[in-house]
Amino acid sequence: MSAKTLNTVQDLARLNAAKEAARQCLLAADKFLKESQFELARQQLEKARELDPSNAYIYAFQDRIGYFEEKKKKDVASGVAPAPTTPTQYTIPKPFIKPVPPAPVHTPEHKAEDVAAGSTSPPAPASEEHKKEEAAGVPVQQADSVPKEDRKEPPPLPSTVEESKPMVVADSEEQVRWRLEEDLRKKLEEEARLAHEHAQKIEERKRQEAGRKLEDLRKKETAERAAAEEQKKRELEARSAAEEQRRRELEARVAAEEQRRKELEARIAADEERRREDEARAAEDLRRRDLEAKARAEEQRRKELEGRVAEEERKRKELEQRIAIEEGRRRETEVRAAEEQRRRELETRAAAEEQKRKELEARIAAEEQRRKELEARIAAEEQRMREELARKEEERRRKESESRALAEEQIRKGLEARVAEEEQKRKELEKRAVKEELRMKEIEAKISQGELRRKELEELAAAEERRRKEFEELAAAEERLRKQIEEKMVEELRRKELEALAVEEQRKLEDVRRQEEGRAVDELRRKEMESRAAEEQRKLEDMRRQVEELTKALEVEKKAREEITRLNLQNSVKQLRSALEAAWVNGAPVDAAANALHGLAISLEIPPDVELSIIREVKLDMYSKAVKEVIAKRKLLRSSSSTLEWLRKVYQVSVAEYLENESKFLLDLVADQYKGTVLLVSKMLGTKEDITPRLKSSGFAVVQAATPENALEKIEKVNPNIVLCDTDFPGGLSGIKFLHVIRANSKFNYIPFILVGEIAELAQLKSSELKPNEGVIKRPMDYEELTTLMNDKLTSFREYISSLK
Amino acid sequence: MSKVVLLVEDDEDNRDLVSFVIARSRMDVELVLAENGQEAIDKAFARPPQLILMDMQMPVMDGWQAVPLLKADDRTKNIPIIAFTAQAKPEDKVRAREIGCDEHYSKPMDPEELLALIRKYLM
Repeated sequence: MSAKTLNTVQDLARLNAAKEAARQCLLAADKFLKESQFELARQQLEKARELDPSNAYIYAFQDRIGYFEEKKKKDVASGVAPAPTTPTQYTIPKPFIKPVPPAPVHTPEHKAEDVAAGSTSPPAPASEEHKKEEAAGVPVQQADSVPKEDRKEPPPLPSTVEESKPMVVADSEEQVRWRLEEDLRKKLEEEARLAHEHAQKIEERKRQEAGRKLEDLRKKETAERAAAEEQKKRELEARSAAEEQRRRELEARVAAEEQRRKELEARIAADEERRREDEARAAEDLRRRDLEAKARAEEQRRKELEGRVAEEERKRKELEQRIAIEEGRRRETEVRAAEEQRRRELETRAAAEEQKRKELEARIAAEEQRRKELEARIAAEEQRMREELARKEEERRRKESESRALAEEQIRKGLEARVAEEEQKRKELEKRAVKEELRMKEIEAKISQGELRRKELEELAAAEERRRKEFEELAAAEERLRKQIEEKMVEELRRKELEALAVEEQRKLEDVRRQEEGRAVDELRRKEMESRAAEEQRKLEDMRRQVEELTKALEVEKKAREEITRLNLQNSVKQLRSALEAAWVNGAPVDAAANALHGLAISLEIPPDVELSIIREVKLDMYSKAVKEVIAKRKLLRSSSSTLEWLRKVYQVSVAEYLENESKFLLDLVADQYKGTVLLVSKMLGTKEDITPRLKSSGFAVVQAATPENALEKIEKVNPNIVLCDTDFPGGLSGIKFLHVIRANSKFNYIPFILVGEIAELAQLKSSELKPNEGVIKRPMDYEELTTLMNDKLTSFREYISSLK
Repeated sequence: MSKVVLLVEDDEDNRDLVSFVIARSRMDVELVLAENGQEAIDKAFARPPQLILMDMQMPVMDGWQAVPLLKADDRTKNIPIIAFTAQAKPEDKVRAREIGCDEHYSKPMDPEELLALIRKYLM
């Protein structure tokens, strides 16, 4: 690479000339720039680029021109007179001035730096570029020229120092110095090349060193890394152990959490359930409250309506009253009209009375006439009576005379027959004649007296007549006076009546007028009121209807509420019942369970009486089930009754409750179990050989008797279906004798009788002697045999009984 | 802790009845069922109960065979055994005592008697 560049020395000279020319151009451009002749400066710049395209200053100048141009434009725009620019003092890097080139440095790098600094003052970008190339290991531009390469070589640090120094405008003196430096540079270039090689070698060595160091470093690093790895591994292991620990803890925690979660879930579920229940209850409550509020509102409304109805009713009554008053008034008017009518009728009647009075007067006159006629008739009658009296007297006297003459004749004839006597009689007769004469005289006196009395009577009649006449006159006068008074009174009355009538008429007229007006008004009012009343009535009807509707709605609501309550209660009861059934299945629950159930009942809002009734039902139900189970297994039990008694205690069923439900518990048992009553006469009672329990469990009712004597006492009361008797009873009646006693009694001799005994004992009884209802069974007794025998005897006994019926 | 009672009984009705009675006894008892002597021995060895109710007449292995085996084993020799027999004869009672049964109970059973007997050995 460097060999190639060194081989073309001519090229190097040409290149240097071109670089110089380019530098000159750049100086010119700088000059133009200071004079603000940007266009000329640019031309110089272009020229420099053509001459030496690698000169980095060209780009710097380009930037500068751009910058100053921009600045000038800004100044012009802001109206500020552009200050004489001395930009180079700040911005253009001053060419490196070295009055005396320093002695070659000890290190080739330094030399190279110096050379580079002396040649041009390469900008930072160039050095950067070079650095890049160096890093790449392939300096591309070295193929063109060595000096160019050298100029680009200087390290960045001196370059930046140089850059910071202001650039002094080059003048001809400096150019001379530059040329000297150029010679020096050429000398130095060779050194630089050598230095470069040396540097390369050093670089190589350094690189190797570095490689070695790097290797060491790497090894160290690897070892460290391995250690670190180891450490890390250990840490990791520790960490994994910790992690494991933590994982386990976490798992435990997770499990605990899971447990807690489950509990929580359960609790949440319970809460949810409770919440739902609460909600349901709350909703129910709300609804109930709503309903109640509604009901209250309805009640209020109903009351208001009722109040209004009452008000309306009152108004209606008032109206009715007023209508009644009006009606009364109307009636009064009508009455008044009726009175008028009556008055008129009275007047007519008065006229009729007058007429009648006249008629009466006429009748009185007629009566007077008649009276006179009657008086005349009375007088004539009196005359006739007198004449009659006189005629009668005459007649009487004549008759008397005739009779007397006859009698006298008879007497005279008698006397003529008897002279003396007749004389006597004649004398007597004379006397009698005298007496008669006297009597005649008396009669005459009486007649005269009668005449006198008649005269007196006539006088009296006349006086009477006079008095009558006077009376009549008085009466007439009185009548006249009365008439006059009556007339006057009538007149007065009429006048008054007329006056009153006139007043009344006036009043009536006014009244009528007023009434007419009033009536019109009243009629209007009445109509209005009627219409209002009708309206009110209609409203009332509406209200009533509304009230009815509301009442109906309320009833419906009430029913719905009741239904809900009923359903709720049903559900609660069902819940409680199932809990109770679970608790009571094996008998009465323990106190804690019973308390829990009571708590449940309270939480379900079941009233205590209902709770008690459910408990009782469940208890009896469970007891009944247990009884059935026991009955099903009765064959395995020694005593059904004692087992039932035990169950009664287990289920805490009182005797009263048992008796109350006995039929329910034992109906099945009794229905197909009861086979009959056995009178068991045995000396084995209470011992292991006692067959009472087995008989009972076979369905027999057993009445025990310890001896035949005892049995005889009981048999009539018990009326057994079968008698089971031992043979041997020491010191008393034996079984066989007892059988004989029974046989002798027609009341019992048909009852099945079974003797139980040893063969020897039974031998006393000949089998031929046995009756159809009797049987024997030997000891030791086979229970099966016994029951078979008993059943046979019972069957025939029943058949016998049936045949009797 | 509930006490374990082993009921060895081949008849299902009898097993049910004893279960029925024990369930209603209010005793804290866990009833383990076995249908014959062999099963009883297996169960008793696996989990020694506090009391054995042993029917003596059974198929496979009856109580007369099973009880001596149970009484011969250390695990079960101290467990009280109540022998159940039907229509017990006096010689059965004696024999039951001889082979190691602690008590003898003759069927048919009476619930209260049975419970009293069980209580006697459990309490």
